[in-house]
Amino acid sequence: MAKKILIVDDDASIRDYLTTLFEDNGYAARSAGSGADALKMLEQDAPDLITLDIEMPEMTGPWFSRTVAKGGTYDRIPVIVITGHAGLQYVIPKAVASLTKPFDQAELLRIVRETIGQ
Amino acid sequence: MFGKILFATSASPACDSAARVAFDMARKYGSQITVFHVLGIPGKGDSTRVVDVRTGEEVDADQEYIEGVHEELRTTYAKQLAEFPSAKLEVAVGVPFREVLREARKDDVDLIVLGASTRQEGGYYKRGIVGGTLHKIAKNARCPVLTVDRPAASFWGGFSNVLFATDFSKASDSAFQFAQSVARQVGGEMHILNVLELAKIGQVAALTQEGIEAKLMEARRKIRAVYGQRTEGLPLTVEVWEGTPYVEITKYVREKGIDLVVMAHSTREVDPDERPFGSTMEQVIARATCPVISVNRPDKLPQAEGGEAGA
Amino acid sequence: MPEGTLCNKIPVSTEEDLKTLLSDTRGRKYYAEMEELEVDRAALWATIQKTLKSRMRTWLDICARCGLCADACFLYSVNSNDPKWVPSYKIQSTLGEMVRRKGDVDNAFMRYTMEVAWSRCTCCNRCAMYCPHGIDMGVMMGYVRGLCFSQGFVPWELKIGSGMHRVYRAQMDVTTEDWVETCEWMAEEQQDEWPGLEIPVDKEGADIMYTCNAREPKHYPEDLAETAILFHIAGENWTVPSEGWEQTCLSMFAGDWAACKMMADNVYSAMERLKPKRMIGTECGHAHRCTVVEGPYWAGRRDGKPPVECIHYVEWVAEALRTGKIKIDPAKRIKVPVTYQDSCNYIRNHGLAETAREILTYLVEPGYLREMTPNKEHNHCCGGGGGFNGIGMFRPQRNRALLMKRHQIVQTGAKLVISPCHNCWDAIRDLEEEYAIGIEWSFLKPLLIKMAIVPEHLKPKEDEELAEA
Repeated sequence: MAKKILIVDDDASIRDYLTTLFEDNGYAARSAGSGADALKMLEQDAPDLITLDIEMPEMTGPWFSRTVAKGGTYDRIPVIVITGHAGLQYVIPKAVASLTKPFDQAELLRIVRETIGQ
Repeated sequence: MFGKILFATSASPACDSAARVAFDMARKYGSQITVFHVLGIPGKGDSTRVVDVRTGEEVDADQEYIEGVHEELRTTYAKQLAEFPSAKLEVAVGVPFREVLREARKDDVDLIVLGASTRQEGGYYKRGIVGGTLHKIAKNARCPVLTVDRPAASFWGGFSNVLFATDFSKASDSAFQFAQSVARQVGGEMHILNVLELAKIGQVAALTQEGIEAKLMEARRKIRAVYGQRTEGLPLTVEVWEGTPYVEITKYVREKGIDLVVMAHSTREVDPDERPFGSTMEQVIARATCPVISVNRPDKLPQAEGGEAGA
Repeated sequence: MPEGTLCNKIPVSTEEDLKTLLSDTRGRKYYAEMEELEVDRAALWATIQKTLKSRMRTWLDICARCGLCADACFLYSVNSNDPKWVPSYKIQSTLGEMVRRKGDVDNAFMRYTMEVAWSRCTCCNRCAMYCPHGIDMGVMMGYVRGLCFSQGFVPWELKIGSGMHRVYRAQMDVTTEDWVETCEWMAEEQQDEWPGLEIPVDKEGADIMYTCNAREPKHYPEDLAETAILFHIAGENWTVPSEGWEQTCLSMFAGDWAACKMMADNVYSAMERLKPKRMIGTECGHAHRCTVVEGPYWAGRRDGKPPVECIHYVEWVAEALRTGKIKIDPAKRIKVPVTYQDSCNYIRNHGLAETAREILTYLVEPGYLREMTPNKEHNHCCGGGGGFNGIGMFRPQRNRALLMKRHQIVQTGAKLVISPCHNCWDAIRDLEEEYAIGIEWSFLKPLLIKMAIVPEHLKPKEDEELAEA
């Protein structure tokens, strides 16, 4: 069964880009445009990996991850941070990787493969 | 909570993170915010020239110059000021820490927000990485002082997990009052951490694990004894970790998703020989992924509706 | 035009005029107007006839042009022994000329006189010590400044400075409210470390009334806190007046005698109001000179004395150390090579050289004191005295003047310069900034606080660990 990736980013073009990228590489991808939407999706169906933007208007990446952490499921899902701001690479505890936009697509795929396999 | 915020800025990019925090908090808590810039240090003798703190050059602080600085401030913070038309902009001439304290006293502010010192050329580990200014303000301010040194230590949306780091000093008590008051008002969780500083006890490898565990247990009991009753009704986590204080605090913040650290600032000037990298608080400010508030006095505790009033 | 809007013969006496003059960046318009300022020759001669009395007339007359004053003058030395910098020449070419020509001098002459009076002389009075006739060219130059001021030929910053005194009775815009507020604030700020510390305002019948320099409340209020701490340690019964607290007087540097009288009257009325046993001033040379030494004459006091006994801060420090009111921890004494700046106004002109040395015996570990050459009443001006530090137009000349002190300090090999005078302290700070000779410099107060043994009953309760609830 295909591994599931949840994309969390308020930028629609990024969401579309990543969805296409992951699906083209054999992953099942869903996306959420806000932290609130992402929380709902997590409840319905836990993904194997989350890619997380930091600066989002209504709920920041860190706030989302703190909320999720309270639920307990969080520890088990690896997170890859994808942010436009170099200074914010390390603000998500337990993140396995951090990429700044614009990022190298091959690099991202390699990290995903290392983290959850094919 | 935080009715009046005084954001003291060098108006340079080094204070951008602090600006964001100050305005994010003002937005969230409905605060009146003042952007305060100390233009320069009075120069030679009795003349009117000042040393501009940003450029280090001597300038004539005449009407025109001061208005120019006002204009620069307005431009630098244009976005924030558009959202906060009631925000005040003040420029003062003098020794920075002294003028910040003077303004804080004059306006009776509830919180001072500071950014990183702009004079950090010369290496990260230079004594006083956030500048002697922080120490002098934190030591003498009547109200809490929040320092944001870097983008990673921002206000992420709220203060839901508040960490009070204690060394059981008298000044810590005011910090505790403040921390639990904030935690109550936001309906969040309170964490109390004490760090057993191993290096102070002796050669670490020579200590027995039983000896360490015994001290940890004693400290855990002491935290509950000293603070327990005052945290009634508040979700509370108590931890005692052994190690180097600032390292353990940084780790705790990361592991537990802490959004605010509250500590007492040591009142004595830190001896550079003893602590070449500055005080614990200075290190935590440089490393934690959330804002750090220093509280030394009980004067300006946040007022809660129906809750505990400040001293 | 005879009188400019900014540069004229009228002193600044209102807040509005002060702000107007301040807004003229660096005095550009002011100095431009000065080029056209007319000399009121009749008034000048009338003033000279009325105020140039027999002593100065005699001095002008009996100068033998022997040249002994030349080497006495540090400015002559640092200006390559240019004959035009010989004190006798400086006075004869200005005051001497004015008298010989019966006041019939022009604008160019007055501007030259202004340059001499404020950039070629700091009124340090050292020349007087070497003149075989005892002619005091420093005193005469001070008189010349008064003549220049009356004609409107005074440096921009000093016209402002004197205006400050006229408007605020202080050298900076510190009002009575600001002052009292600052005293309260400083006492409050120190409560944690010094419980019970007070800065009493307007207490009557105290042993000590303290006066200071306006820049302390304005920019460096910690200085006030330090004063309070030391009086606290010494157990003194002291006070500050709500009005009449400013001991300095830039008007003396400016040559504005009327304002000098106002300042003296202001401080003396505080003394009369509060009736302290003594008045003690801050660490400042010219403040002592104008309030204690010259003041009585400006105020018209026939006995030449202020209303109460006044002593300089170093006299109080020496007394406190001698009587044990302040005890120094010998382990904390200064153990780096250290030297002492003998400020002209309270050392040469008031004789406190030995008092200063007495203080040093308590503060400095034996073997570490490196006296300057020359020293005591023969020491040289810091380079910035008489208002020199603050005059933008003469900054290059002032920086050259610092070379003498730089030379003296470097010769001593000292790493610390003790300088209980605001002017000297500033000059030495500028010296270090300009020439980077690797020194630190300090007033007495911070040194004393670091070294003093704090009486047990004054110590705060130690950072106690919290009792279990």
